Amino acid sequence: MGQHKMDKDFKIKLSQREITPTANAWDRLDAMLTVAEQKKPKKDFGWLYIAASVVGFLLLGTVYFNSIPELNDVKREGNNDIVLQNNNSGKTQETTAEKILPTATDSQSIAAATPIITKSSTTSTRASANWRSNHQSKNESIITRAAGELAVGNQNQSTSNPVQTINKIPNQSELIADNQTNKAIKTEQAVTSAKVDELLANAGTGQKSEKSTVKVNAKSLLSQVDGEVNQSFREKVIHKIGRNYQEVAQAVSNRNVQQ
Amino acid sequence: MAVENNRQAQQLVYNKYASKMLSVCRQYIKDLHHAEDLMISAFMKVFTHMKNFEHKGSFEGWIRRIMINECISYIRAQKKVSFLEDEYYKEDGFNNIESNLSVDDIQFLIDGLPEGYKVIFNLYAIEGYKHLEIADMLGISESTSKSQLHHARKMLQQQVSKLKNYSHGTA
Repeated sequence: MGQHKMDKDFKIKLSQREITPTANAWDRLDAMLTVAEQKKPKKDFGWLYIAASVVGFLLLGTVYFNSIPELNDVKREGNNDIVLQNNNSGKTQETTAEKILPTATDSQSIAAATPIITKSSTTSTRASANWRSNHQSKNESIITRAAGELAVGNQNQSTSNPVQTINKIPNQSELIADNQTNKAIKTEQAVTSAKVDELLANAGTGQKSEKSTVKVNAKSLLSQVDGEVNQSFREKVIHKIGRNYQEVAQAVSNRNVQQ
Repeated sequence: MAVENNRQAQQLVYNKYASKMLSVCRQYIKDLHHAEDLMISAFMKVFTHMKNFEHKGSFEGWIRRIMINECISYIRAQKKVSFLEDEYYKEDGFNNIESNLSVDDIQFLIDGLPEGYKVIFNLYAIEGYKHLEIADMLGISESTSKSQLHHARKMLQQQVSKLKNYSHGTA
């Protein structure tokens, strides 16, 4: 058949033909093969990267779940801190109380001193005027000393009043009878106790005013504490990750050596 | 195989088959530089897919098939080829022509064919594929392959007649 003869003729002549490629054709193919061979190992070790990523996720998970109790501890510590702050505030309150208490004791000493004074004053009616004046001066010095221990300006003023009133008592006692003097002494004691209460109240207000002057920004404190807590947690996580990474690297290197 | 990742063996294979395979690529691609590029990329596939060679046929035939597939893929990617769904064909409609054309003349005639005709003529007449195989390769019907071949032969017949008349001085 005609078409078959033409097809055969074309086929024979084309199949016998050879076209020499250019000289750099092999170089190009060589370069392409080199690139392909460099890419190939990545595909072969793809499972290794997947395994490494899985191990990494597991490590992160373990670190995370191990860190939850630490976080709770941290929270507890934070609560403790707050408690400590409360304790501190309690301490401050206690210190204020202690500060106040000395004043109270001082006032008690004053109050205790005043009976002594009153007693001495009652006896002074029977004693001579010189002895009285000397004794009064001694008592005044004792009272002023006790008042000086209070270390509060207002208190000094308040303590000076009893002294003045005490100074007046002997003059009255000369004129008034012993009963009257006793009443005056009682009133003086009552006055001194009232003054002591005032002193305590003043000291309390003074302390409160001092406390109010100290400004504490709670937010800044909390943020500072949180930052410190986070820093320590990060450091722990980084440390653990680094340690686990070294373990994995050693395991991989051992496996490679065994292979 | 020993050829894989052995550059010297690969070069030996290349040196043995490169000129023949470039000729195969040239049948489908008019531009020689493009044909060479396709031959290189096809050799790349040969060397990277050496494991897939099942030793059922000849190694040269396997390489040749890879070259042809590479060329067809290129032509289809360039959207140069279009197969008209024409079912008209006639088996015995040609004269008994024996051409004394040279290879260059034959290639010139084949280059003058439309891409669809050229691919099917090359596959059927030169490579020896069946219409069913061509239909599977190109994703067309078997009758389309036959009609395309018919039109290709008809055009070639006319061109050969013209060349004969021209050579005899009658044109």
